[in-house]
Amino acid sequence: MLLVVEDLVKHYISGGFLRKKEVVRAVDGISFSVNAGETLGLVGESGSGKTTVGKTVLRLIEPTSGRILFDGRDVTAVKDIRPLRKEMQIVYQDPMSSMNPRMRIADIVGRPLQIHGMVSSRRERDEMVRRLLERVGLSGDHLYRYPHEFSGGQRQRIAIARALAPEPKFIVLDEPTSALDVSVQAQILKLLKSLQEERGIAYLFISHDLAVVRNISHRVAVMYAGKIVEMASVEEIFGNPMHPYTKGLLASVLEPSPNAKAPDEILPGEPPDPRNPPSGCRFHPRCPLADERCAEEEPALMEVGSGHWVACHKV
Amino acid sequence: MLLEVHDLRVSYHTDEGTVKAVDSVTLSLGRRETLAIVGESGSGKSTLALSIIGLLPKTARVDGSIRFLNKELTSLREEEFRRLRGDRITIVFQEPMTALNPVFTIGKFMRDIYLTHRGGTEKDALSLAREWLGKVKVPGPEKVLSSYPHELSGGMRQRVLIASSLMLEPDLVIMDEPTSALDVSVQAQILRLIAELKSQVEASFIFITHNLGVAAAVGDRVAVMYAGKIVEMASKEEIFSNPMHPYTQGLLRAVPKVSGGEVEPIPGSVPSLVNPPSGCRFHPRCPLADERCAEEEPALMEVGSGHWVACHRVSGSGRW
Repeated sequence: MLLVVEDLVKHYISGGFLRKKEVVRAVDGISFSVNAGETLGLVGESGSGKTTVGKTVLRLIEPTSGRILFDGRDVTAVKDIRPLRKEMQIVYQDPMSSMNPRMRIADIVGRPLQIHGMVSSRRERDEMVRRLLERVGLSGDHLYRYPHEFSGGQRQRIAIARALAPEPKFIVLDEPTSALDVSVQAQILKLLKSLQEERGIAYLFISHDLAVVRNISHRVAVMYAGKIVEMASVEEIFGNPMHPYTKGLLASVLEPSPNAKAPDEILPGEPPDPRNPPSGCRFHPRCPLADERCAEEEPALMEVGSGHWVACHKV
Repeated sequence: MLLEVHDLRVSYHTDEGTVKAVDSVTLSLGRRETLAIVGESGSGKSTLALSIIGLLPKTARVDGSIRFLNKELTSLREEEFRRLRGDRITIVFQEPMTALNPVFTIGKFMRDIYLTHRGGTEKDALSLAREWLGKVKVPGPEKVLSSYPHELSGGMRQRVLIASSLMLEPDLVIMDEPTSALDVSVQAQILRLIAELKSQVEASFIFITHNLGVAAAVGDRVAVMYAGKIVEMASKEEIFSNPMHPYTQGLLRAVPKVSGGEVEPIPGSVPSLVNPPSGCRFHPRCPLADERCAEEEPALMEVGSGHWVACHRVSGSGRW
């Protein structure tokens, strides 16, 4: 296994100064692993903690507790994170937020090459950037342009080229296609898959969009209010969903078809406030199956079939 | 027909040049009908909606005709439009805070709509507001009336706006991406609610969305827009079982589905509206394009009963 996450917790303190201090339980004890060359889809609604997981795994955010092992090394314990950063990269939803608008593409994509001492001259760097740009479907001539000269889809290609530059083994993709038009989203999904096939890179693909997750993932973890409620192969999650939340989410998705109509069976209520999550199973106030035990006792994530994990008292 | 839009053109002057946001759009809408307008960014779908409700910025130039309740809206004075808007035509935006004033309670917001258009007493206004909050299934309508917008969740705010858009029994409700900012589970609730309300009211709906699944779930008819034009329009059943325009076909193949299957991208990206491609605007991305497509603009023609397509490559008994 390339990445092993054990009992990861991230609590924030919000408020202070004139406001009551509150603990935000963004991620509340989750464990999962990612194999080399594999895509784990992490799906959830707002406040589920999925983005916090992605950033914590890279230690862009310090975890409150838990262990993160990457390629056998303890990410939370290493003094110098830099050698690990070379192997673990991230692509965000909005690429502009992570690009200096005054830097040229050659500098943006070439920076990791310099930081990690992978090139010895500007010429060598530009040549490598040119090859990377061409690999992600851009023209090598774009080298000396600025980010604002590109469309959203092209900028996402640039962000992917930058993430590829240090030749990582693992990339966190945080809603990388959510801001893109449907026609362009499909281009980026295809590109990510072909890069994975060619280079054996593992992805943690974070998204709120179940259809996108189905398209790109090998395995899927469903998050709700800081917890993983179900985890299985993509075929199992979509073909044999077991957790009532997963089932409800799937029933909420609309597909373009001639006999489509507004969904009948839908989850009531809205995702909870992570400052004040419900007792017991956090999903119980919205769950059609909930009983007294669900309101009191938190269900553990248990393996109910080969590689199929569910956290539900009623399964 | 309740609404007839004929050869509508909307353009803006910008530093880069003239943006033709909507170009020669013709459509009509009957009573109690829902037209879903689907398109990607820059397709002109929101500009079309704003032109119908008269909320375009003053810098916009509007040509063509919009007839609604036998009135020509493009030449209506702002004062007359204000009487129509919020009463006969209403709109629900993607972001409820666009409409809600953060310092007013929901009660004051809804009461003001009533008093502006109906006059009458405050008591009547609040009792109608309470009734409609019940119809949109807001838990505890009384408490919501005295709440401020920030005290409500996104889903609840959208329910309040839907109630406000329907309570004066309008003829036309425009919904501009009303569920796009919501979580999947809440989106499903709101779409279910809209479907239920549609059977209870006399209004017609124009539903703007980028999501083909949402368009399929709410629309009686669906219009697909690309770069300021309608490229295909048909009944929901027809457009999803027999899509004819290469762009519609491409979109349906590009969208990932929870039922699985590969996606097939459309090459390239959405064109600039300052300098759109010649001929058919989709031709640079179209797998079927030939010389004619690059030169001559295809007209929207009826190729089957109620099925309209703007494409030189669609054969059939096309008539103008």
